Amino acid sequence: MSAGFCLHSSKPFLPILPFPWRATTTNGNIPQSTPALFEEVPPSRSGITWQHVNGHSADYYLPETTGAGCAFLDYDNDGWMDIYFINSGKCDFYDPQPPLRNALYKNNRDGTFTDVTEKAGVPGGGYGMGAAVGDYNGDGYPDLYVTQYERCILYRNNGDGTFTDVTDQAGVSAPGWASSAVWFDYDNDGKLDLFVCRFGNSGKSEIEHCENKKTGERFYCIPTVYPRVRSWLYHNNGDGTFKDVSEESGIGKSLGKAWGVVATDINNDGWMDLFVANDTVENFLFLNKKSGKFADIGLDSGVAFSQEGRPRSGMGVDSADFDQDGWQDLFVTNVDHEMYSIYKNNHDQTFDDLTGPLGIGRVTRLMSGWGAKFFDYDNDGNADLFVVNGHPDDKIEQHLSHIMYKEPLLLFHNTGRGFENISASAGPAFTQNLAGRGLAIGDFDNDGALDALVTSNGGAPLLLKNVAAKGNHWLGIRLIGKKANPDAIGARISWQTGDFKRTRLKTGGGSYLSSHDPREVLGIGARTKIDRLEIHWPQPSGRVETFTDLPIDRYITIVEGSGIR
Amino acid sequence: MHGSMLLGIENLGFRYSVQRRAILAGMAAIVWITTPRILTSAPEQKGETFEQLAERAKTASDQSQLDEAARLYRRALTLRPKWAEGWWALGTIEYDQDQYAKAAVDFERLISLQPKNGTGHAMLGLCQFEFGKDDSALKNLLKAQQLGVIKDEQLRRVALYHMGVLELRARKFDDAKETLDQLARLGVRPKELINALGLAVLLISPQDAPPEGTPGATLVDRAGQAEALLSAKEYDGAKQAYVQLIEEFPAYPNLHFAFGRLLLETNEAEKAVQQFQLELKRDPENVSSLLEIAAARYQVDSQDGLPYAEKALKLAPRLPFVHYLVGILRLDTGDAAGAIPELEIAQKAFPNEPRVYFSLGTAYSRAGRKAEATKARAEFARLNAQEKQHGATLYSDRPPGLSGGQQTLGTGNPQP
Repeated sequence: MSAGFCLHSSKPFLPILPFPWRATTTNGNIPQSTPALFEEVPPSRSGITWQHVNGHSADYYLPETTGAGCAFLDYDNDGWMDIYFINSGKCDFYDPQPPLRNALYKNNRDGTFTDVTEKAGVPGGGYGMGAAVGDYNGDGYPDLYVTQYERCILYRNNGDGTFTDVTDQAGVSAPGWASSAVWFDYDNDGKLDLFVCRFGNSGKSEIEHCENKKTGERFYCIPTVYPRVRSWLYHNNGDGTFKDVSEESGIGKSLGKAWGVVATDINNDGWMDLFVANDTVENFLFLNKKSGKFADIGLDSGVAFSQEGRPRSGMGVDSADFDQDGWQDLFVTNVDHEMYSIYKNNHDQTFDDLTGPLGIGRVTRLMSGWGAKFFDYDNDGNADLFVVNGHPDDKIEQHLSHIMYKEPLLLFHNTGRGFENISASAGPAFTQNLAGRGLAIGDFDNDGALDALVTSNGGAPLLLKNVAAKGNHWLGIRLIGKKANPDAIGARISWQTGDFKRTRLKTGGGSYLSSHDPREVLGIGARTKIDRLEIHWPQPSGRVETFTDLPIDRYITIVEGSGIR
Repeated sequence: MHGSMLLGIENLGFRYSVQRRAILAGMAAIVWITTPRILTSAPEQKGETFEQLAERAKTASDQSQLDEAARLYRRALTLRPKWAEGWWALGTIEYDQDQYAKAAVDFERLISLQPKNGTGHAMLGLCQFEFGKDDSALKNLLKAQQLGVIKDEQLRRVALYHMGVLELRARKFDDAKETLDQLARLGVRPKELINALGLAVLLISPQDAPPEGTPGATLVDRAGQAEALLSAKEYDGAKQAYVQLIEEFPAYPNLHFAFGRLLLETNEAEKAVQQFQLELKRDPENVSSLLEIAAARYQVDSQDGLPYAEKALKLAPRLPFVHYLVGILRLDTGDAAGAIPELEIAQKAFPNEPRVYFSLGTAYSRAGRKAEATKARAEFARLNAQEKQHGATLYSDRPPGLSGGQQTLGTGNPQP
């Protein structure tokens, strides 16, 4: 059952808009009578006191304004989502005293968290950017990849609440300036490989400086001044080591300035593709050619440039089948005056940008976006969209009266016929202006309503508890691949109750510098049962498993070939 | 008109005097680089060497004996016609003596020897301006700007002002505004600049300017003042100035349009559209306003913008930009088949514009014409790479959303 998005229908596509679109970037005042959809969990309640330090300097080194990310992960496999934050740190242009560190917060299962960073051994130690979580060695425990300016870190989960830095042994240090990363199985051998976005080179001399020629005042450079570089693709050898296959895979042929990545399957061939957002140059859509090689089809597919052929400042990306036609669609955030793009899959390896028809262009015209994620916040079965915003230039308000440095969050509700900007009624958190960057989605309180974790550059993170899904039912599933990759990235999930049917691809990565709850929450609205659940495990398994008589409103674990646990 | 304007300009510093040659050290360095310096002077006599003549010419020039200096330079150049410094010196002397046609010949000779001499192009353009060769003058001033080697700030400003006036005369109002804005941003605001800015925003060529002392002339100046405030980022003042003008002259042609353009620059798109609508109420066939609304609506609400572009197309079918705008709006509203013929017309008119090929590629692809899509995209990729090397082209210096349809209205672009 298609949800009814159609650009080329005989009558003009008109999204359902219950209130006038606003031309400004403010989300306005919340009507007092409207209950919030997301409630901020303050540090006093969560115990999360960590804050990001950007190391802002008079020299205006660009990394200062681009971080940092965060992650939801269940590092101790207790069934409760823990939280990891990335911080800046010592590098060739910054030497913070006292030293900074990342933070791992253990979920106490009561809405509070405890900082276990030191005990777990995951402090980071360089100028951190992002995190990617995946069980690369298939031992059942999530491992942690931290991207950094200069050198990345792979923390192997020891399964006892601690981690070991195995970067050198694994061969995944990705020197340079890394940003987002994603674990996925590109060659369908059942092991998680690693793609690492690279924005630029590291080295103090490699960082460009821009200044007002009259006053000498510095500002963050627009990245047009940076050279293009290649990103990394690491093949998992299955023995704890990886091989850099960037060149032989064809990834290395495409030089860019990559910020965001999502692993998805745009042509339903069972081989995971990559959508990569680049800054000031064209985005890449790496089509998996199945032979260990990728081809960039961004230009031909229509996702490389803006609709009028301009490269934009791509930041965060995501992918989901938002219109339920069985094909993966794409989303990318850009900076002010560029508008974000929402791309509908035409089923032939091309996409149409529905930014205008879906009303997203009007809302985002003056905004600058970073983290972005499709997820079903109200468990009605449709993929909604959450976007984190903030301009990269902290001096922008001196130059442009209509652009803000700190910007509000955006929440778009998928009505089944279009996207409705419901930010104004989403809660007080959506009226705050933030230097927003990272966004991770996860259910930290296991109530089946997916929560949001937002990071701010140079500020405290925001933990947002979802209170919008009350009354709707759901089933949460954790998939564990055996022959398929352990995280089941690429699995196709279908669930049905009566004539209500939904499908979802388990994508890898998405958003910006961030990593998400690996569980899938399947919303069914007001319906009270799920008749049928089908899991199509990714290759090399390819197994299709069907389940009936399923419980609702709880989490289950499905192990490939072994059923529900 | 030209004479009176020029007189005023001269008084206020937009007349360039090469008598201030001392400040042309940068230029001198360029043209002297191949010339041996002459250290001694010699009395005039038949059979003088080139070196002797050159030295005496320089001495005469330094002593402001310009007729004598010019005569000596001419003699020296007869002996050594490839002496770039000599052509420069002779040209500047003749320019200062208001002998523009002669000076132009000198600068042409200089440029033939040093084609990348931006200052030479600027001086040639200024000469041509004076004797009414507008097309050539504009070409040379643009070339000077492109070469970007005018070291003398005063000359750069004079060149910019004259370029703006030439663009106004050619009815290239957007270009003129952009050029004149560069001066306004520098804080340069003599009466003539304000007047020219006013003409540019109200789409009035100097030939059609309201006579001095009339309410129209006052309005033009006040509109120019508002634009100068905008250049200085005094947004509230600029808007207030327009509000007052509209109160006083609600039906003056293109006043709502000009205010709308200002509001676009302050990113108040909805208010801008309201002003364009008011302009259309006054003149339903105001193509500029139709295009602005269509461009403002592109991607934001293309369905709403399309009828405005379609109407502009009916009114001005020979403007290539209108075809482009109709094409991309149709494409954004799902009518790829309808977009293709319009984009093909635009492509013929703008054969080197990558973005037209990009849109064509998308349209062909959506229409199932895969081979043509591939070809158009390949051309886009090729031109796009070239553009990166060579700098901006037709649209690349505009903000996204194609604000500025007016730029194409009077540009004399090739027509379909």
